[in-house]
Amino acid sequence: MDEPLIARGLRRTTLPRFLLWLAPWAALLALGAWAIFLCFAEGLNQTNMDNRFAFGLWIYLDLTVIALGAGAFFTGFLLYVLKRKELRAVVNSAVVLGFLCYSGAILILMVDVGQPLRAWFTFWHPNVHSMLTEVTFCLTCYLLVLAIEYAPVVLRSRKLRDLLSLLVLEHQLHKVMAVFAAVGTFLSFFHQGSLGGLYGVMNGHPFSYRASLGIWPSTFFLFILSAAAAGPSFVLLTTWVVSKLSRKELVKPEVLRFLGKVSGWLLLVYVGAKGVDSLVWLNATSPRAGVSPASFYAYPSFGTWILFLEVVVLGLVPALLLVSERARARTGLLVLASALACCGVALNRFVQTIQTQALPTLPFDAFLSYSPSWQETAAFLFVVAYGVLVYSISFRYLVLFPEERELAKG
Amino acid sequence: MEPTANPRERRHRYGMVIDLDRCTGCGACTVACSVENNVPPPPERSTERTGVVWIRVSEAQDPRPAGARSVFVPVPCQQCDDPPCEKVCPQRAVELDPKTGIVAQVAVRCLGCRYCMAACPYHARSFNWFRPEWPDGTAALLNPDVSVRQRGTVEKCSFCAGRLQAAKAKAAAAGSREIDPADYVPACVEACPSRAIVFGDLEDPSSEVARLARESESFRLLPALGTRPKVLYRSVEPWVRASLSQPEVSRG
Amino acid sequence: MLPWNPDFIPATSTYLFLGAFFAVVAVVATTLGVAALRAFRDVSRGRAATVRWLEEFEELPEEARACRHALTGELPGRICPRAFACSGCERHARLVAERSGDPAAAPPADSLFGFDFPSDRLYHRGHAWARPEEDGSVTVGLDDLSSRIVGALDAVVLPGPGERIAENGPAFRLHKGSARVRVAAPVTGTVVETGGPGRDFYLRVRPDAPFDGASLLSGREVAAWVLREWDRLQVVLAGPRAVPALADGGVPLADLSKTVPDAERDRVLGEFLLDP
Repeated sequence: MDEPLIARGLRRTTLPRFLLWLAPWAALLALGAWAIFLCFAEGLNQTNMDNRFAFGLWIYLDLTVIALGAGAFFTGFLLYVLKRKELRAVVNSAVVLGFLCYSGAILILMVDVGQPLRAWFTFWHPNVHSMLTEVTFCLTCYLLVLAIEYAPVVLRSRKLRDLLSLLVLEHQLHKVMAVFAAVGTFLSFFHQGSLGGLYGVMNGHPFSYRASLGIWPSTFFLFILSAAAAGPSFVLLTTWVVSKLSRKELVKPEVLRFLGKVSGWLLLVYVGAKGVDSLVWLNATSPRAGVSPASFYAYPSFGTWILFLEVVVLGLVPALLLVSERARARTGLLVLASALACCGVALNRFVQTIQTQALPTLPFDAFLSYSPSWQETAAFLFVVAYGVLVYSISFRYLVLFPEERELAKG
Repeated sequence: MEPTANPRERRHRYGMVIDLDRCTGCGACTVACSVENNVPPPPERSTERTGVVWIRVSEAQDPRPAGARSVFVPVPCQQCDDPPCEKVCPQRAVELDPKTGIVAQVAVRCLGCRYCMAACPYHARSFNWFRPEWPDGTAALLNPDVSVRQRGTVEKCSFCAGRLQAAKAKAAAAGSREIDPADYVPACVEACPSRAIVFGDLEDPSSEVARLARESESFRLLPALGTRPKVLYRSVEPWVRASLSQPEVSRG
Repeated sequence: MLPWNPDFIPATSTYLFLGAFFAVVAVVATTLGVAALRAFRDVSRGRAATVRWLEEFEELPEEARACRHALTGELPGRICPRAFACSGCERHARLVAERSGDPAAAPPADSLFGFDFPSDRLYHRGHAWARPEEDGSVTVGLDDLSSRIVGALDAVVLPGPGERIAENGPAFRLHKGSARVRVAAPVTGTVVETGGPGRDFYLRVRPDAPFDGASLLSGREVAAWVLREWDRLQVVLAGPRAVPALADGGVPLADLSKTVPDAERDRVLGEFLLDP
């Protein structure tokens, strides 16, 4: 029915089956939209956040999807700046994923703030010392860059390419893509870093406070490294999942292995840096703030196991797997390792956001717990459903994996 | 970087010393504060963690195994000289006035991102989770000197900035540049039945608050964090001083 | 944000931060502007069809992008780097110079493997032909091999007299079942007369410049190309889903279109006529 819209040579399922796949996600989207409406109409009392737990599921989600979305900038950087041509096979998909991650994060951020209509104040009265200012500026600029990178993929679609002047614009945009890739890399460095800095500068919370290297706390650099490591893993993982779901070979196996290798080495560097940082933090930074580091892990929910899980099981283990050529050669291990790497980064963002706020600071404080309300969860699922829907539609009508056509011939 | 103050204008550092030995935990300070500053009454659905409160009275237990004693601790904004909230606010909705030392929350500029709340170790800030409402005609009793805040913004103790403005206006009308200290007393100080709170200019060595602040019985909350609060506490009880000036996490 | 804002703080940190921000905005805006300007220039100079062809060419599979000298065996395995624009190609010029006077360039047969490929015309790699006429016009048509693959058409969308077509841009469109393919034009010019499948040409075109057909195939290249296209057809037909293969070495079928299943027609025709 919609064959004239599908790029020639791509095999896609029938329209009714495609709609059947979209239906549950659309339902989830509708539920999420209702929850978001409630938050706008009634206020943030619809959430389970409170004066102590000022950040909740949403901020955690923002940090995680932005870390995973780093695949877009890193793939673009490797392809357009370092000229790793083999990544042409995944760059479109990476750009779409990046766009979805960032737009989803900004969307949920707009629900999360109490006065979204005042968001422009940050631009007008910026406090240049705040990490959140850096994040706001960079996210906005980078979303624009991602939209510019997404546009050519859309303009090349089968129907839109008949609009000749837009196709010419696409052609010219593609020629200058290296500039956008470089700008995207610059912006990504700063906002990934600033998201880490967000917690690193909080001297009120010895659990998240880190000593500064130059003008930024160490988490600034750790977040850049971990996002750069997780990004390629996430591109690898999604490519594999899409390939399994659509039952198609989308890229040559070497491309996935290359992504895994890049991810692995970066993760290894990250785990090393994280180890050093943790030692400095536990042995020097925290005692200086009058805090015994053992106390961070003294509460039942968050024992030292969480540090071990984050750094070793979800850090060192996938890093070693991904740098080993023999492990990479086995697709199962490759995919498992990249999934572990993504989970590791997600856990790191969880610890920074949730554990920081759960731990008491004042002597008469208690350890607090928090579980999100259904509205928060539904808004979270809204972003997930939005991502799945837009990605599915993009996958059906756009060429996300240029090698797919060739590989389909076998 | 900071606007240069007029040299003829004297700089102040307003602060308070709260005598924990006198505090009975009656909560009069919280009530007086809410009335003075148009703090909305908590709606039915709110909890103690989602209401708006500018000065919270907590109870601290004697941590020693044998200790069955406890102490009440009123916690307003600690008015830090190096406020963690000020440097994290993305749009300068938190301002440290160099002329008074007061950390102000500019409600009309607040985005409601709550980063300041996450950054404040004293949990002295409240978010308007609900739309502020004054039921049954109580809106007529609002203080005209203090603006009400919107849903979705953060607020906190301002050391009764409305009263400082009124004192300044009175001084200006009398042709004076300096206010009479007796004209500027925050509502909580005034309301405390046991006179536990002493307020004044810490910069003025002759003031009572400066004298008390220098005494060895006075201490700050979480001094090791480097926030340098201008709200101090005092107690003759060593266990109170020892346990309150250490962070909870140090004891694990 | 701006220096004349009342609350602007003139400090180094402000200048560094906002300087970086405005630099990013300036770079993005300039780059976008350059791309938009170039696009505007391309469109106003009528290069849009060429650009479209460049884009399409990039998407073609390697076997469809072979250099004309790879077909003849002069440069084995070479992929054309110029989107079939031979007139500016140095290697092509050198080879043509060496070739002149070569007795092998004698007129080939009009019938190749049972298909009509008359030697009075030049062939575009997308299976359109161009025949220079005595009055200086050029007639354009679809070659015999693709005509037989297409078979009976549902519709042909031809540009009307007075409309312009550009080399490698769409000349006309073929509709059959759900298949919609364009045939790339072998010449740039203005349409003066339209024909169709029943006549001996589809379009008569008044070329902008005297017609030389520098990028089109002629002479012995045609036979090598047709042989190769025959092979490519098998690959295209085989496609991702197994389709009954053409009989090996047999006599060409009168109506090859019967070997193309309906569901595959759009893909097969698109790939064969270089319309990705």
